[in-house]
Amino acid sequence: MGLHLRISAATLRVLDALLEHPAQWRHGYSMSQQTEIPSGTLYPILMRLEKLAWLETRWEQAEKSGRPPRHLYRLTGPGRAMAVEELRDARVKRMWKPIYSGV
Amino acid sequence: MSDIQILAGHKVAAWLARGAARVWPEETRHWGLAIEAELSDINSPSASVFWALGGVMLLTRAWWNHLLHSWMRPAGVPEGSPLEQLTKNASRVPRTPRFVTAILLLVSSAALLIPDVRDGMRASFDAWHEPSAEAFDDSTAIAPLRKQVNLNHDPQAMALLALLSNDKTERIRLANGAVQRDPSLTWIYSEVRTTDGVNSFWRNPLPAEWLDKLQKWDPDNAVPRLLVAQQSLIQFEDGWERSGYRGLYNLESKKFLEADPKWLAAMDFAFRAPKYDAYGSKRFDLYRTVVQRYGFRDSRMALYGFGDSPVGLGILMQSPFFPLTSVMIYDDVLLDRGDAAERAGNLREAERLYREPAQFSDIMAQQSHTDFERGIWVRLEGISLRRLIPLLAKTGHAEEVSQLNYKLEGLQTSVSPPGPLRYWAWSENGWEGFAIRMLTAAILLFGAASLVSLGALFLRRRAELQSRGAGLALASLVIDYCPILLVISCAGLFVAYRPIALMYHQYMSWPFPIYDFRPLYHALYTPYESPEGVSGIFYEYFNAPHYWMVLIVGLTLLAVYILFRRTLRGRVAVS
Repeated sequence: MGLHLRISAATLRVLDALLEHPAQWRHGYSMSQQTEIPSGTLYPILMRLEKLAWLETRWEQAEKSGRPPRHLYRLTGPGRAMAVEELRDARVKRMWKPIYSGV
Repeated sequence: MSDIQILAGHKVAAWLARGAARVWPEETRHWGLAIEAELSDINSPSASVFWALGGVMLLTRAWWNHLLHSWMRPAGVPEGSPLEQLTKNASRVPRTPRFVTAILLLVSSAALLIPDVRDGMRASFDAWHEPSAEAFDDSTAIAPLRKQVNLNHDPQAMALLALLSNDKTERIRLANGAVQRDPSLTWIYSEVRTTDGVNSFWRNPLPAEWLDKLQKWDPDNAVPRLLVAQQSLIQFEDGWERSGYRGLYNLESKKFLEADPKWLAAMDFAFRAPKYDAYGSKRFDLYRTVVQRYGFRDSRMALYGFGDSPVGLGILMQSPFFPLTSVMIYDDVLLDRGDAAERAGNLREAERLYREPAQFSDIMAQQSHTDFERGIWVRLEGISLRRLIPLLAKTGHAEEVSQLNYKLEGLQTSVSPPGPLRYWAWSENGWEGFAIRMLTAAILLFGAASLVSLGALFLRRRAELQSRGAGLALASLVIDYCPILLVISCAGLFVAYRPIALMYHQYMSWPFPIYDFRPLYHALYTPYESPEGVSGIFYEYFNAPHYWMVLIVGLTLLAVYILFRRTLRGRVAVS
């Protein structure tokens, strides 16, 4: 059984937010604030996207001493293409209207 | 919100997130750390607590996924380790998925909870041990009965323990107590051993008070009189032993007893008694009642007691057949007297004397439960008829002669009952008994090997393939195959012991008195039997001490081998 992405409204919102500035690395909390999705829902989506290789992650370099490095996320090349397709498909089916990405 | 509340909120959130990250499954821990790291960017204390709570929710999910996936991996192979890639191909890593191993071990454990399987195993353990009277008295079979007796002072439980206990004082005390509480149990006086030691079964002197009570309680029965006669025989045997066994037993005992008026009177009464009841049915009813009342499930108890070894004739077969020695001697006395009367021409008296043993054997045949008794009455009647028939032919009783000839013919064919009733032929069920014992050994072996291997693999689960020595390779092999062999052994034992257990349950639940225990005795004795030829080898070389010796030697060799390998490896690394 292969991995697949369950396209929920929350997932579409996360993809939409990630597509707003696709080249930019994002923090989890800022995405949570933007999409108004709590951490308990946001992170499972990020984990699934990473497993599907739609999302790339890295740890940031600590800017301030005493502050732990944070985890950063952005869509991969194929991830962007797939995300755009999913959002378009959702818009056609009137399931979703993009807010940030303008897809 | 005060500064203290803000600080407390942040502290709670940090504590939650840090704790979650610490216990996060290894393979996804970076997500837990990611959630924790975000807290530094959250200013609101309530938001930081909610953020951390989201992390705790995610933690439960991560653990669930971790457990779910871990069942697909073989035991002792951590997720994401290099070993995981090798599990399908490398024989030095276990290959059976963890859930299959777990199911097999669970099925085996469940099988071991089935009372019949446990019964079969207990019987096998008993069969391995050298018989000793002390061993069975403290065993799990008798201990629960003793507990109930001490708790309830139930006369029937007391009576049963009086028959089974290995403690002479306890036996006598319980017998008196039981009869005092319930006089219908007076019959147990006929069977309670009053002495200890190797001869307690053969020579069981009964107090005169017990014999009096027994005769008054059951005045028409031949057995109490036979027990009175037995006391004279014990006197003779003690003297004969002291004399260094001088003379032939048969001749000396006959001479001694013929001169004892007490013995002659008791035997005369016994041979004319209207009934013969050695209380076999009462004994089994007592056993059945007590076992059902207190829910004892250990069928071995039926084979215990009244002997000098843990497993003997037991409750089923412990009829007082030794008093029957007196029967054989008195038969000789009567026939001698008959011969003398016949020679003297007193044919009527000779006929009366020849008929007497035949009449006694007819009475005895009505309530004989064991083959020992059967053997006695068949022999008694045969000898008697062989004397009586020529005498009756001489006196012109042709019709009766014909009837008695027919009876004699019947006796000769009934001496050896065929098939499963031949419990005397110990090797009849030998292979089945051997299989039961071997399956029990297999369960112990495969069960122990599985657990040891699991432990070894768990402790060395991080070891790379290159550093996995022969020990871990062996553990991998064992955990791949032993659980299935364990299940097969459990199923085999269940199938092999089931017919025995079924027969036991049927006997225990039969609502009427039972007079023939031979099939049950034969069945329960099966685990103790061995096939002809194998028995000697088995008991000589494969008893419990030998198993231990083999195990200890094997483990020592393994330890030496492992130490040797380690030392060698250390030297190679240094050089």
